[in-house]
Amino acid sequence: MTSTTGAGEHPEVSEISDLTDGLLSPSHTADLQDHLAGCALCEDVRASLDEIRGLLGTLPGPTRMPADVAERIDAALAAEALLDAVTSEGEPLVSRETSPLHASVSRETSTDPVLVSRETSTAAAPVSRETSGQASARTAASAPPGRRARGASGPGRQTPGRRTSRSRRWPRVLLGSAAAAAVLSVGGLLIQSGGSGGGVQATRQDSSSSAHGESPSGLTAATLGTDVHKLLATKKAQQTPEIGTRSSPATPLRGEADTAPSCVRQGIGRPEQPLASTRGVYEGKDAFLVVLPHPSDPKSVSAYVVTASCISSSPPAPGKVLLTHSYRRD
Amino acid sequence: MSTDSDEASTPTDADLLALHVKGDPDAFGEIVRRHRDRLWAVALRTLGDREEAADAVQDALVSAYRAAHSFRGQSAVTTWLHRITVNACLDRARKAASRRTSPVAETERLEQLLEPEESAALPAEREDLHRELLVALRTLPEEQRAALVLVDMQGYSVAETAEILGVPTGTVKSRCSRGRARLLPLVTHLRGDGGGNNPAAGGRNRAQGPSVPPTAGPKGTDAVKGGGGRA
Repeated sequence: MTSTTGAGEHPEVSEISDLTDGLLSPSHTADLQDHLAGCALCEDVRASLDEIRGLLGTLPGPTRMPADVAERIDAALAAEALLDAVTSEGEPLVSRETSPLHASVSRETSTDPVLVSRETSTAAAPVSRETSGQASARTAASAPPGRRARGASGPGRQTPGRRTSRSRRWPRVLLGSAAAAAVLSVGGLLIQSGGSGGGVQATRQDSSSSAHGESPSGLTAATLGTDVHKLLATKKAQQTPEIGTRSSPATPLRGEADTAPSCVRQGIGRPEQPLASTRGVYEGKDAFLVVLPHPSDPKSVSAYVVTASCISSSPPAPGKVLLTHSYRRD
Repeated sequence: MSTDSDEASTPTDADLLALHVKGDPDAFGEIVRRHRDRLWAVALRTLGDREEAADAVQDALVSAYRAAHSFRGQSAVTTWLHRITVNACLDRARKAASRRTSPVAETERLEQLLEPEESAALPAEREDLHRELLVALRTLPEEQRAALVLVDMQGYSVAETAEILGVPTGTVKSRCSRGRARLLPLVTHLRGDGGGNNPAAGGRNRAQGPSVPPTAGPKGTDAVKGGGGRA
């Protein structure tokens, strides 16, 4: 009620600002106005506040959404439309068990490029955005995969009326290709999740418990090259998130991706982020296969097989390297 | 809504949204074309980062696309879109706060905010002042910043801003007021001579700056600015 604007005291800047915005009680307002009338300093503050408001209003700024952003959004919405069409056919394609997985991955993949753009080059992000946007326009269904995954259980899907009416609008042929695209993109999602974020956990555990026949659970010196290439090929399928994985600060989720246990990495003794890693069995021993860039030859990679026993050893000790070999990247 | 036949009259946003819910494949795209420029401006200014803003607008429009059936029409479609967008921005701003970037990147992003072709004609001091103001703006709490972006920068009315932000009008006013008060010490030192704040410039000019767009503008829902989108 009573103002702080007694004889000698100046009001707070925020009070003067409030005055301008008509936020003060009538009596407080009157007091302040009296003060301002006789105080050049405070009148100055008031004028400055007005000026700030004016400046904010005249700041040059964006008037148009940039074309690349508009295209990206169009592509994302087109993907939504296709997904609608596909799921309305009985949604057998987006499997239940995969969607929660991408949902967790999607956050990561969608933010990664942002980090890249800030910390490394400005070129990187727009380019990758661009290509992913165009790809989705062309293959008609591969906008950022995670976004779609959320859609599978999104609130918009719940209305049966909408679903049927929408599906009727899509010609058969288009539905067919949409379905194909969705199959492809589900495949893509699995690959993607194999390389980035929390998804790795799931896939990796899968493979180490030999759910996937093709993964290198049995490591041998003879077949190591094949395993390495297979591992890298899987990784290559998703360039953008991988860039993010390597060059951006680790988030809790991402910190574990592609990262063999610390004792294994200590055993290797190289600080770089592994290109890929997997768990398997080497000569009857539980082991990790870790692939790193070759120290000197950019065209090659170095593969390390390190015993996994260090994980449980106490006192903690670096894992023992059982086998090292370099391979050409292909 | 029977829009197939009446080509002459442009369908309203609400018409288009209803068509979209019924399954019209083009309706939502038209809504996006109408409003994306303004949504973009709000997002870019609230987040201060091009990629973050693009992600936020994309997230917002995709969720609007999905949630269209739940739109009940208590507010204008454009207000609803703004609300979703601003919320997406605030979510991102809060998350981004934890991973603040380097000063170098900061400068880079400022350049993105001051579109070169528009600031080219301005005197250098003015440009510096703008830059300073943008830097200062980034130090504000998100909610104050969002209010200032909407009211002072984009020229939305306090009432519409209140609706967008889902808070009472008094809250919008006080966020703006506090925001400006916080900006003050951060920008005044840039003015030519510290003491000579030229009271005449302020005068009794309670109103917004000379070239703030008319506050009622965005209320006109349709195609104030977005109608002329590309394509």
